[in-house]
Amino acid sequence: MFTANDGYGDGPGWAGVLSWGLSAMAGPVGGPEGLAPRTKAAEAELSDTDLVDMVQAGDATAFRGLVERFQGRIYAHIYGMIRNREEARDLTQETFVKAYRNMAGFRREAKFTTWLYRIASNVTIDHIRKHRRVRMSEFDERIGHQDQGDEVWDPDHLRRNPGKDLERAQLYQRIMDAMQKLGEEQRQVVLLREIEGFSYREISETMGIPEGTVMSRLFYARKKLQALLQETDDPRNK
Amino acid sequence: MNSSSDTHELLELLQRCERDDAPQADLAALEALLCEQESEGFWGSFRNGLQNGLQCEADLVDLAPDVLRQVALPQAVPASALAALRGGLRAEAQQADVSDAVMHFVAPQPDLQLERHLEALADGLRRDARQHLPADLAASVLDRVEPERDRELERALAAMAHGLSLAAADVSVAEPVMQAVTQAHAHQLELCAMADGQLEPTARRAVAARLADDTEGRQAITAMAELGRQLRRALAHETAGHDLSAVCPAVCEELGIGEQAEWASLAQGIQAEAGEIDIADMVMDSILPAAVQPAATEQDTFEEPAISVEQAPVTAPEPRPATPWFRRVPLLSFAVSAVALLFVLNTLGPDRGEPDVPSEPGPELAEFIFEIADVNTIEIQQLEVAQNAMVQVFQLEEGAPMVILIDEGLEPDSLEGVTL
Repeated sequence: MFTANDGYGDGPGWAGVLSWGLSAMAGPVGGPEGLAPRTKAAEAELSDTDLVDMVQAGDATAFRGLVERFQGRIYAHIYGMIRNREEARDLTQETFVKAYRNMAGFRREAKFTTWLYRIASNVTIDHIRKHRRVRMSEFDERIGHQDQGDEVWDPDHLRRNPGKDLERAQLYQRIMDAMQKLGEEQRQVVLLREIEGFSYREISETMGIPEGTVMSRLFYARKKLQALLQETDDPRNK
Repeated sequence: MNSSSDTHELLELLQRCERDDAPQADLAALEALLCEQESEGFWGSFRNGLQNGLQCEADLVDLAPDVLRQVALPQAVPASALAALRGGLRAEAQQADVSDAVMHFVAPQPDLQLERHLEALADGLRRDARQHLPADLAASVLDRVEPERDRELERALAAMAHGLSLAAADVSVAEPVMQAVTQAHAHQLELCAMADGQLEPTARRAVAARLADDTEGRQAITAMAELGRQLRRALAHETAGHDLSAVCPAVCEELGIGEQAEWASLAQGIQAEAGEIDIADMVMDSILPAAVQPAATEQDTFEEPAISVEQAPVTAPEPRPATPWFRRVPLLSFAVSAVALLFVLNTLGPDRGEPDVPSEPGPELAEFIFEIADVNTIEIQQLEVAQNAMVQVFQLEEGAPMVILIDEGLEPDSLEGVTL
């Protein structure tokens, strides 16, 4: 019998039956009910919950779909926190590895994204704390010089409006510099809100803090960012 | 007390007081000094001293000497306050739970003087502190204190207490503390939540109505929107060239999620299955092009199933095989049902029990034409809203983001005084 799910829906379908016992994945949540691989187009139609269901049912390839779906966002979040390309990439990998290894413990009390971001946040905060010994002055110097060697620069873009683009790039640089001057908890809440568009409740679940604290932390972080940007705007500070 | 000699004396007194066997006379003298401290111009230097001290060292072990060093500086006048804080922090490092202290401090005491605030905080910390301070104490405290740079002392201290409560990792205390802290900033926090679209509908409408006459509030919302927009652009700009193609393979490799073996297994399975039913081509067409990465390499190594199935001539490359019509039957049935349901609801909706009776016309739509600068990513040329909706548009400066607030389903009373 043909089913409408091509083997990656709620029921196993023929493809699921076909691949029963064929899937060679060995994961912590692995079981004999692994479902067949699917096309990327079909995978894109699956919800996060579908993919999580499949991973928890033993279909480890579904986790690849989750990685591909979230790696950009997780990377951006981590990069926003630490502003180091290589480390952000490593921590992104670490986040997904930890997520997979703990997938059996994911009990749907929160959304998968919330749970995943919580892992990412913990991984990142742990990393930051391990490197906390770096003095602020060294830190400022480091972020001022990092990632400039291999930055992709689009000359065509510059030709279109070089003055404005340069100004814009400087503004972006100042914003990212200012972000690094926030405390990591403030930085985290700003990123989750402004970049990820999380609701206060989602941020609260992700960070494990009350919603009131989210609101307050966000408020103070924005005030501080604005103050920092005004400081750098002031010609006397240039 | 403002001179460096006084500060030196205070330091000596502090050192004596820090001993377990500190003489009662010294303790009493320290208390007296705390009570005598004048509050004029106090907070700025206190904050600077504290901030500098805390920034120097993240770990509590090294905190006290740095704070002391700041105290010793002539310009860091409020030595007694720093001493109180220092005593509290040192005590906190050796004892237990800070929550009571924080709550004690945060409890509304509007009539208290500065010194008593500090005293209460320090005493509370000494009496009821944690065994080990988390390493992020400094950051937490600073996070709370820094935004209060130029604000009233009480607020700043309340924020500092909040930071300490967070540092204490006692979640149960955080919410009550926040209630106390947020009272001082209720309006600004409300605007923040408004800008984020996180207010309940009733509160949102109330704030929106107030904003009609609140230029400063609108500026604040505009500034928040602008900040968020620029931050998104900045991060996108900075991460634009970053290559993440290695992430997924690395994760899969570390987790042992192999690709080749898996696809080979699948191919064998399909080969076996194709001997019985004619699905092999369709399956492989569907799976191979998109799922095997990289396509060329994988397909080169993939053995075509040895099956004899007649294939339809391919006239044009198709990204995906056409779905057989019978597989669309459930979807089509669903669509037809939905259309029928909508039709029935429209016909038999509220006040439309009798199909032959003409229904009442819906709320009249008001039309507003907006012209928005082309720098914005979204251009609204025409916006139609019901008359029982409220629309507010803010753009306070040229080039600033336009904030459009739309509240639908308002009661007529709530529209009073609102201008579009």
